[in-house]
Amino acid sequence: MIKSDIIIIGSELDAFVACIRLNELGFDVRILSNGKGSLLYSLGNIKVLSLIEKNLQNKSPLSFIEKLELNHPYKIIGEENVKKSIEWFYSLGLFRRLKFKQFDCNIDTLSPIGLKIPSAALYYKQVCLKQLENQDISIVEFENHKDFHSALIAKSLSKIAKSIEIVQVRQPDVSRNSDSSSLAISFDSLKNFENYFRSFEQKLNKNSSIVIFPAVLGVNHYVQVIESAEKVLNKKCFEAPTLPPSIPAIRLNLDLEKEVMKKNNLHKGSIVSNARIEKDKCLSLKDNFDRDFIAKAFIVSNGGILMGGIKVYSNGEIIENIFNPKIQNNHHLSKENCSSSIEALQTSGILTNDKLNPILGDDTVINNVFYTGRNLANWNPSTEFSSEGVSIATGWYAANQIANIMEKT
Amino acid sequence: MNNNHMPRIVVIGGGATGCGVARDLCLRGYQVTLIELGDLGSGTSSRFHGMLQSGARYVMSDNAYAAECYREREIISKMVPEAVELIGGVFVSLKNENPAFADQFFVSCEKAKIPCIELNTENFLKKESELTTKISRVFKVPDAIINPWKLVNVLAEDIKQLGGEIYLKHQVVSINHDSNLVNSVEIVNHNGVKKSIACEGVINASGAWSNKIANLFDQEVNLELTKGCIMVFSHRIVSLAINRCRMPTSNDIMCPSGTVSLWGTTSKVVDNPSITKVEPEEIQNLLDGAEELFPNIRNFRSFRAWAGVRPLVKPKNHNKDLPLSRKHSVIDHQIEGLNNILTVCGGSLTTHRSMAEDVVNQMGNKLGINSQCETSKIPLLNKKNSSWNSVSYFKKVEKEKNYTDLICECELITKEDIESVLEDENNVDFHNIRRRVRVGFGPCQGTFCNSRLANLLTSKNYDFDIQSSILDFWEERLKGSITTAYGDQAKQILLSDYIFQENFGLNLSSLQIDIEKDK
Repeated sequence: MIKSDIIIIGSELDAFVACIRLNELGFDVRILSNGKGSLLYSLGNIKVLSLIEKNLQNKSPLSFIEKLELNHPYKIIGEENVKKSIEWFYSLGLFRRLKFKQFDCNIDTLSPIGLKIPSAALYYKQVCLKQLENQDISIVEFENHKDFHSALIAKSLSKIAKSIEIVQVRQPDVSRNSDSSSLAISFDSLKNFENYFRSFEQKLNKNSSIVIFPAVLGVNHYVQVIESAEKVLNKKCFEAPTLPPSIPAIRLNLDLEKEVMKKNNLHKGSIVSNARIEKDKCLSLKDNFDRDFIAKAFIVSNGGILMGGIKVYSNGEIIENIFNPKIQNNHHLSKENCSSSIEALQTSGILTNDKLNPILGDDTVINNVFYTGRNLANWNPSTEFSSEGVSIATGWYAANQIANIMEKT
Repeated sequence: MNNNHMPRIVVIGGGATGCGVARDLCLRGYQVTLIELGDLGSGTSSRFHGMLQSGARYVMSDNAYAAECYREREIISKMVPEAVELIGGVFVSLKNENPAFADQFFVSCEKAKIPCIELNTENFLKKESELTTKISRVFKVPDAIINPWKLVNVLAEDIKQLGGEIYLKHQVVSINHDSNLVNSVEIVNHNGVKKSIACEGVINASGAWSNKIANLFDQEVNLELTKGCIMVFSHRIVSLAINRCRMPTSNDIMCPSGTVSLWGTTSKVVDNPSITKVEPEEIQNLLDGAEELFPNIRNFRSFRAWAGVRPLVKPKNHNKDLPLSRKHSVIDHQIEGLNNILTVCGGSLTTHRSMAEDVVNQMGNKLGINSQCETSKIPLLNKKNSSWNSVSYFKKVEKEKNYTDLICECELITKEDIESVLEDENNVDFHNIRRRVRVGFGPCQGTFCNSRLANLLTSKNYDFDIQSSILDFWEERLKGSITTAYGDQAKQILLSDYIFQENFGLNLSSLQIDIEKDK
């Protein structure tokens, strides 16, 4: 039997956030995780909320909350809590690479195919469209790097830039493959960054004021790499995203994981098979290694349908197998068209009370279990541009709720 | 033979039948114009299970047709080896099925001259571990699979080299006649530009659309249109085609093809050939049927389902209780007043060549031209001797470890493959390229490869709208893949949605998608 104050199932952003917040509040946490979370497919930025309506992007992310349906997770936990949680996340300052640049309003960053992505905060040196207006821009691409779409990005930027060029250069270590991960590794193992950038300095347009690199400039030494590029080339340097899984997302994920591992136990490869529940409380969990985990509270942050936390069966049934709570099933298989079918699948999920406790079939709740992030019903990360925001807010909120119930007992 | 003295024949329909007819006509010296409403092979020819039938499926229901299938299978696999993979197939009977049927099946194969041997069931089941152990008998037959895109494209190449004209994306708007002779066909492209083609004969090879064409000259082709749905599973669940040893019906074929397996089909009478939406109950029906052979089938990932419409000809005095024949028909419209127009319909992709032979012979009789069919003798001009073998393709990439040129990792399509298609400028269209080289056909359904394709085209200065092209591609794939959004496929759909909308910034809901978009 393995004991701890709190068990978190999953390794989504919400799991890490809840864990860090719980540590801050003085609790001891164990994480049961089966692989990496969905954060790896993100661009490494923070999206809080931007309903795509024409000309509405350039507003504060929180100003859209009132437009949401009543059962949306942001509405369940309340606007004030959303605001506090996001500010708390920015203020963490725990991680060197997690220097987020926060804005008062949503600003646009670039997607891997050159479209706009509204963001609440960008990571250090992530490209921001505003900074590129009327500039002479050089886009650097590495030979045979098929996951960086320089032509698409150049075509899209040509509408706002003064001039634009694509410069092809050799990667730092030609003995390695030219996929995004191998490129990042070759930057991390580079001995002299400045010499490398000097080697192609002459290739760039002298007049260009901005250089855009694919977002592969290393994982561990990324800040030094890009700062030395700026020094040698004497131009502002930014990173534009590659196809997912992206290196900036790996940096973010790795930093969060490291922080979590400092104080807590992370059990990898653990799949929770069932729970022991008595009355309105969960007492323990059993996993695929037949271990019993005892805790006072539990958070389920295993990524919903996308990451397999919730399962969809061939007859259209949607089930969460650990606690078997009530599910909002929007019947995606019987929709008339694809976009409403996807919308139905995205918004299906677990129904909770206002504390994020699951509601069971007989309308009772389990008071010490909390669901977060993509497990929750009634939100659509793809159309709201809200995935990191909802994960942070619900993870933080669940941690605070646990602190409340622990005080009482 | 001087082509100028030979009549011009307009062939309507660019599926396997139309292409087969056009090639046959070209080889006999006719002047030929082929008209296709969409892209080559975009109708029923590409919407089936992909089998080049040994004919064994029909030995009990229609022995003569079965024999024809086998003869044609032999010819086509020699004529177009690059489009055919000789995977072989088996017919399996279950322990609860009448054993006498299997014996009759074996005898009937012999009668149709289809090679058939009975295998040791136990040894067979050791190799095919996903199959139910309730199988009692196994008969091996020479089934094969065919790549329909490849077939119609090599035929089309041949037609062009033999002097035939091909109009793609052109609709036939009128068929004009002077008393009882058709003398021209009017066509229009999607920009509304009209063109009139003078001709001395018309062959209607538009399959499920035959009646729509016949309506243009106030006649009818009495068809029974049956929609058949197919589910695609993301692995080679079996190593050869598995058929149920019973009278041909729904749910009786599992066919491996490339990296995937196809299970089919359902059968539902419809009145519009363009309705190819797969309904949820059809998926359940397919899964129920597949479960009889593959007990674990609901846990396999199905990443797509589609439907095709099979046109069978309904004779005027047909007895409702009897099944319609699979054998093709040539309908002479002379009885109703037009002397030089024939409709060829029914049959299957396997028999497309003999259908062509039949209809072209009859056209010759009408025009007083005595010529021999050469399609089974004269090899294709660009004949490749290597046969299509999807597995060898993977071996090559694995051996060379050349991953950087791979644009589509699911189907192992390289940059070079795409560049070779680009040489033909007409093909710079996402959907055309996809069909020609199979980019985006695999389990990821284009999530990772279509932006690479867009980037490759943009870097070569092809001008097109990136956002709408990728979005169209994704919507097109979604129509097939959303219908099986359960199990791992539900995860895949959400992952694609994550990448396309959240990561790429494409907005799916900005364009309302109409699944029933008319062809």
